[in-house]
Amino acid sequence: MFLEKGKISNFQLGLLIIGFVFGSSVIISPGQGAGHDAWISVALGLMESLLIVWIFTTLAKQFKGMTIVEINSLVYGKILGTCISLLFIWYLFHLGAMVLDNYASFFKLEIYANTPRIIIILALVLVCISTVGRGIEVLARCSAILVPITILIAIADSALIIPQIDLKNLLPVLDVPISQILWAGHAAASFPFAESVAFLMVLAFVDITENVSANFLKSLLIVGIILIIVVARNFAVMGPMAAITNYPSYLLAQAIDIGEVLTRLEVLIAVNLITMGFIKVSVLLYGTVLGLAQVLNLHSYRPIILPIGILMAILALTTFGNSVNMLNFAQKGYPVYAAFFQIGIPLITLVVAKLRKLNPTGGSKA
Amino acid sequence: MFRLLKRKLLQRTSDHKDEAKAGNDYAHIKLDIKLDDNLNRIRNILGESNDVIIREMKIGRNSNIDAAIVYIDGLVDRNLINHDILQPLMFNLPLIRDNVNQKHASLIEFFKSTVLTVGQITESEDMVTIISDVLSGNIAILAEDTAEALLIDAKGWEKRGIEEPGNEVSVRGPKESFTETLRTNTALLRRKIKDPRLTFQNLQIGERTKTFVTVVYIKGITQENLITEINQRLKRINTDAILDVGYIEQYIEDAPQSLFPTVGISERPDVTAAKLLEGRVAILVDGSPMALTMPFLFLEGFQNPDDYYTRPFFATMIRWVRLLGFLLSIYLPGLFVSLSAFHPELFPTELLVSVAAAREGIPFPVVLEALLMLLLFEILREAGLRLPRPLGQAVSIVGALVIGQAAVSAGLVGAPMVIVVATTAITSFLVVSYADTGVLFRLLMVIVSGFLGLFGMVLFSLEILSHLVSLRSLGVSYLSPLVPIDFKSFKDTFIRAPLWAMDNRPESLAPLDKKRQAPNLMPRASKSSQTGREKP
Repeated sequence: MFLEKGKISNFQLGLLIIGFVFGSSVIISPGQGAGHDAWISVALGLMESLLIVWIFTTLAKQFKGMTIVEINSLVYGKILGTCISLLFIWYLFHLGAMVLDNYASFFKLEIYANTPRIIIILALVLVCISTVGRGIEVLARCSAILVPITILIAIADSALIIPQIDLKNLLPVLDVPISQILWAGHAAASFPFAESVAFLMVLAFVDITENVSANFLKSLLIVGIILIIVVARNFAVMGPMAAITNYPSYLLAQAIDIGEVLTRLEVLIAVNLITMGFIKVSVLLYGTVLGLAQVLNLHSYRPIILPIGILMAILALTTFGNSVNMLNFAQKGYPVYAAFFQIGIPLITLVVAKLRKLNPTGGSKA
Repeated sequence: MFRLLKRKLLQRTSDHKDEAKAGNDYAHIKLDIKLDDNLNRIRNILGESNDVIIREMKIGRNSNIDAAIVYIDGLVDRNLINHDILQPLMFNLPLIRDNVNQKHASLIEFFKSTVLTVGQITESEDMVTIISDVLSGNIAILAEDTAEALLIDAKGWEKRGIEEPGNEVSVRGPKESFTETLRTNTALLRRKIKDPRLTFQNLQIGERTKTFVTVVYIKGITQENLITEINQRLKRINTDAILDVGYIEQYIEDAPQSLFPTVGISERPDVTAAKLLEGRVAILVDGSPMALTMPFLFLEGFQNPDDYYTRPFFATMIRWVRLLGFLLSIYLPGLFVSLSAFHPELFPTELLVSVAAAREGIPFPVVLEALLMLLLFEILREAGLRLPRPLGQAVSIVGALVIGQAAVSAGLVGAPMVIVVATTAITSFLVVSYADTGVLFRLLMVIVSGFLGLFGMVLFSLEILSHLVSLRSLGVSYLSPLVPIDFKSFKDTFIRAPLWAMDNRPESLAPLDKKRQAPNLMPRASKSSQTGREKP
């Protein structure tokens, strides 16, 4: 059963991962709970997520050319495997809806006050639907163009704000209670880094699987370091303000003013959010429909992209009534909720596979 | 299920068509040994058209052999008939001792080897070949007691000479372009590339037009997959008429449902030759002064022959100007609409004031205003193009005065919008390959930004990007070398590296011979040429 014929290269995978992790964290700073020590939390979260990534890439390497759905049905058997796969697919689906929600909230609050949320969400979802319909290869190639641009903008943004940086804002270091830093660190791991567990649906299509782990960790390090810089920068420029605003990076870009010529750069941040949100939602939508197609033994995942995409939009419209609700969940509930899918499923699957001594070499499928 | 049924049905109809074709009265007829029968058959097939000439004569020592020549008047060179065919046959032949039957296998063979003083001769006994050859400008010679005909290439019709290219103007490059005659076009290419491996492969397409189509490539450079793929696509064409190269384009292109062209078109022999040398395949069609080249990649549209004939610095800058012009032509009206309708805060303050002042009292929303102006421009352009030449000027005056000046002073459109549309109009012709694609995207972009502002524009661009990325031309990724990324081939994309640095052919075309030139060709003075001026 080959549902996906495309192949992506390691380089494209790396850029896809970077784009995915950027996702909504272009505007929402991770590690918000730790005040001006947020950058430490992000660093801790990055380290934790490196461990998590190591776990699930090991799993992917052991079962070459298989998605998590196929791995599950091999490791747990048909029935239990399907149940666990469905849980995992739910996570991808729900995560997609949350990203959509984040992004719609941002546009609603900052730019399009009078446009209905449904229009904003549908517009993005429709583009994602059409891209997913063209296969993983197209998505990976899109990211190969979009991600470098985003990284450039993020770096330029940081460079242009240097005159306004006041490092005193970051002092005193480790002032926040250590438990709070750790919790914020775990939150930073669960959003955005370890969300890359969604790539368990994609890793099967990388052309050379040998150095997937190293590649994955490298990409995560790159995006992690950029995010640490961004978070530290936000606090260094804005001080305590950065902790209480919803979208510090966006606010900060508004402050850039070089000779009254380079102003209004927040537009670029909004563009970044759209492109990276597009990549993230597309990967999640892709994972969801491919997983469902494999669970249901469909010949192709293409027919279900539209309905699933629309359902995702509806879920995004209905789950959290407002952004306060969403933020509350993101900071308190999500790190626990996500841990089950990000650490639990891959780790347990890996352990069970080891115990059952399942090791299909070369990933040859029946 | 339904697809299967549909395919079955289609197969049925195509079978039917084959039968109908077989029903042609001369499909399998071979020549008879009786001359009269043969001529009667030919008369039946060619009908009563008065441009068909069947000239009967008696040849041989005692004028005892009946023979005839068949040709279409106007397609053949009359001089050649008189001097090289009729004269040898009727005048010289009687002088030659007629031991025809002993020395030569047949009369026809004898004509061919000894009598006729013309270049290209073939023999055929197949009526289909004879008829189609005669119809494409050959002369057929038939004789009594011979079941074969001689076909002499004597094409000589009125044709247009080689002229300066009208659409792809070059400042420093050669100033000749293809013409409507296939043979002239192949000669133009052959004159550029005197490589024995330059190959012209002939096909005839079109049930009724029998148009000659030539596939051109250089053996040893062009990837063989490309050639076989092109040939397969060409052979699939089963239509009654091919009137222009554009017909072929639409039958063989990769993405018929895309707004982007996946086949390149050029009227310049030098451009076509350069593409052949990069490892592409070209297609020439008789009767069309254009050459198709495939694979066609997105960035090719931004290349221009002058890029290569001038020094690299200016060429690189101009290439960026072209890219900028293309982007402007697509985005500028949309950007203006979304800024003034959704994000006025993004205008610098002074500009905002003047834009707002100009829009004072204009009855339409800015989207309609933009669409109106863009549409008007397209109307003017089309009118200017199609009107008889003397009238064209009147249109441009009316357009400039009435639409430019009067519409603004009447308060129908704002002056900034006129500026935007005028700029767009100019920039859209910087990149000729995408001039028509650009028009459509521009209109779509305006509509989208009228609904969703910048947000919509970004999303629409994403959709275009993902579409572009999914396109392929003859199996080669449309955006290569950008996607999949290949830094080595960047020498001829956003920069135009010096010729001596472009050692390799484009990697994406997978040429069989990768090297274009020897390494280290950077020009430098040789030791011996140093003059003694700097001696201590």
